[in-house]
Amino acid sequence: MKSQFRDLTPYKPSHEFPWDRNRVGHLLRRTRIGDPSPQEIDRFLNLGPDRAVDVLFEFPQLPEPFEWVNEPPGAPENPEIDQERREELIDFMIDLALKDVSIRERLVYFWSNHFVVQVSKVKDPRWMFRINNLFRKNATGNIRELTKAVGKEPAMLKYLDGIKNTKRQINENYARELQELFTIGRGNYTQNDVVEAARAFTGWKINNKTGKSYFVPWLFDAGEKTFYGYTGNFNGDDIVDIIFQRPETATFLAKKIYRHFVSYKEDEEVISQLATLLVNNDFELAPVLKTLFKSAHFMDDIFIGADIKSPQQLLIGLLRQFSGKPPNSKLTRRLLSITGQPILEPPNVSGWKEHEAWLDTSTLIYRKALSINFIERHKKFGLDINGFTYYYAKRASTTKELFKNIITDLLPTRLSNEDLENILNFFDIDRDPYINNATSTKIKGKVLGLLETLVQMEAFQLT
Amino acid sequence: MKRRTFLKLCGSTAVSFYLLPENIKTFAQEKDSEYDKKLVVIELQGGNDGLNTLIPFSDNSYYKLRPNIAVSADSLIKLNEDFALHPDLEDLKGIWDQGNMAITLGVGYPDPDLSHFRSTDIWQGASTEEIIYTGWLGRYLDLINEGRTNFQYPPAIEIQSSSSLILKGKNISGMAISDPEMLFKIQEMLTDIPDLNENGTLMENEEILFVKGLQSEIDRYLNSIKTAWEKGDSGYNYPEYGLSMDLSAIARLIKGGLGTSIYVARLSGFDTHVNQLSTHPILLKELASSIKAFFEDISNMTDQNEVVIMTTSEFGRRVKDNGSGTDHGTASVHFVIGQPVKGGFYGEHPSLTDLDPSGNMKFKIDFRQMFASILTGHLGISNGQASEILLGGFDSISMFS
Repeated sequence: MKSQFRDLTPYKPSHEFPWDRNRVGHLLRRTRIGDPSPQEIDRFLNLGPDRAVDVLFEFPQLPEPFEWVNEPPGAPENPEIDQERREELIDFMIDLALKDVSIRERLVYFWSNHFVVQVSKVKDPRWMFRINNLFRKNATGNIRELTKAVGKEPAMLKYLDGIKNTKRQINENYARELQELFTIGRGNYTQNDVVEAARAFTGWKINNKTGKSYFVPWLFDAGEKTFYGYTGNFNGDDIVDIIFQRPETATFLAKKIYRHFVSYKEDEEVISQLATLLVNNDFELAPVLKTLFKSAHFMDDIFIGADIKSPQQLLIGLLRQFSGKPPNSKLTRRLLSITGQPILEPPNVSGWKEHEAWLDTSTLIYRKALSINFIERHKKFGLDINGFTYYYAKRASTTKELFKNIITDLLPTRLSNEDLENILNFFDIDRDPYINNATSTKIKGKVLGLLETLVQMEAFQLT
Repeated sequence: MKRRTFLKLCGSTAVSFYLLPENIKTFAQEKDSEYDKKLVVIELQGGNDGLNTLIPFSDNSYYKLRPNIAVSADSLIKLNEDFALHPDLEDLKGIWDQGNMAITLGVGYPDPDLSHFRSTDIWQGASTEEIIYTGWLGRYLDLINEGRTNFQYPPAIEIQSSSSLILKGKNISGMAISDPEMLFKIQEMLTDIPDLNENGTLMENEEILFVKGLQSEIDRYLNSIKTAWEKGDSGYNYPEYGLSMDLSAIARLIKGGLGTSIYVARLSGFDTHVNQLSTHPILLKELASSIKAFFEDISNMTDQNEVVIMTTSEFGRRVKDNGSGTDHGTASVHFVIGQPVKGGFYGEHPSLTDLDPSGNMKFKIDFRQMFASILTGHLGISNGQASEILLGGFDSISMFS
């Protein structure tokens, strides 16, 4: 099914497409990591659609880097130091994903699933931090310049073997993936372009002590290269510039953005408009994303809840909705692993496939187990069910109304009245209808029962 | 809150389906003879270097073109005067000596693609179409189960991974399992949820139906998996590798009598652009010792002659090394192992000097010929059906007795 909105004209609230809690939830779910809290839904509802998007682009200050980023590595003498640093990095990432109100952490994830590195090969946590923070610094900046910077990151030089790519011994790994996965896409370059680009990227090394990369002129292949029909003594930056002149690159990136933020069912017409927008903005991302999120196309009902939550979205969402604190990094890592998203360790250089690939018969039951556990053992996980219950109880007079509001906020799908009635009918709520008469433990018990069921429903897996 | 019951599955539509007379027959024929044939595919992810797996040691070019990573001649496990196994494949030597291991040489396909992802799709899909929707084993399952929907066991199982293209059919797909014990435990935690209402909009939501479909697969298959898991426990001691654990789970389900015929396991890390000498041997060791343990584990099974293992990989690697590793290549060597297999070499090793413009070997056996051999020689379907599955006729190699 295609959206009736065929271009990126702005969304205006209407009777048919009201700016309501469900649509606010859609905006927040698609632009951040995990479901929003009820308080956040209130806040963004009051901002109105236009201002809501602008607020998402107001970034907090960049976090201070860890002191150890410029210090010597732990390995080989003290590998346990690196282990501690990795744990710190994981805590840091989860903490920011939970707390940052803006779109920035979502983009950190987006870029790290685009310019992929795996910690199992990179190993050094200093390099993992550096590239992670580069994505944060350049979250909505210029994609072409980000691409240039990524190629010089120690993590990438290590991961795709740039440090082994020298004038004497060409290593094709980075040059191929740069074109196939990071910029222009398969079918738009030849094997010869891979070899020529590899020559242009020669000469980079990493200083293990400082954790920084540097250029070594005598390892660089200064000869003439022929790339996409151009000939010259190109270096890596030149290669990136040439690739970004190709219209296929804008289309490739637009498709990636569209699939991630709008729908994995590609709409070629809208993607091509997004590509034009990228070119017209010289690959500056912020204005393009703002236009996208403010469009009626993005806000269309058919995209609401039309994707599958990632494990991280599931976990962070549960914590945020119930004002919980992240578990320690070991448990976090384990929970994300068994549900199919081991942190810092995507399956390969093309990253997680996302969308329906998040779910199979194995990950689905682990996700359900995780969610049920969080609700049942909410005290252990520090989830504030009392606060959550109080929030909704204050805004409803009958149990039915209370349930209705919670269901509407927790299930990302846009529910018709029939759907809502059907779900409500499942619960025994007609006995004891008025909340005012009920004790708070009684209400909390009912809400717990409701939550335990909701997190097992199909719709809860969506975003 | 009441724990959910499996009777629930026999909701109105399901029950009425079983009561239709034409379905009672299929239900009774749960164990067709062809389902006793088992195929275990081990995917070597990243592109396994065939030249350092089976070493063409009599060819001087091998040592000339690989000054940094050639396997030294004195450590080799020689199989004849031309070819030798890598020393870390020692555990396969016994199987080779018993005549149960086929080695296919120069396996590849025309116009090779050097992208991991595209080439993996080509292998899993057994297709070079621009967009590939189904996998070859998915199409196999579609074909032999035409019209059948009442499976009580998964038609195919993938261990430790997301459902990938290889098992995707038009109507049937594989089930992903990571830890059966956990599966049983979690399933008991689940409680009833509201049914989708036909008057609502959720019934039309593709994603909702997708999630619902997955849960109902689990509900449907759980009992058969549980029964097989309990029955198949042999306590055999596998080596401590990831692949070993996966193969031990497969062995346990097979020994327990699960009807599932197709299993897929994976070993990743073969993208050896650098430091090949320190990484590749470890992977080969894991592969060989896991396969050896698997066959020892099932050796006392009465119909062990129905089980065949086959390796696949998206491509081989460049003939010439790049200093400490190898870049993406084309043709490679593969193994087909099991009691019904006629051991020996199949095909012809490609030249190490007559290369394509990228410096890669020219393939001799199309990988789809290997698949055709499995389909007709082992899984027992006709040539015509194999052509249907492989989207074209490919001569099979007679490697089954």
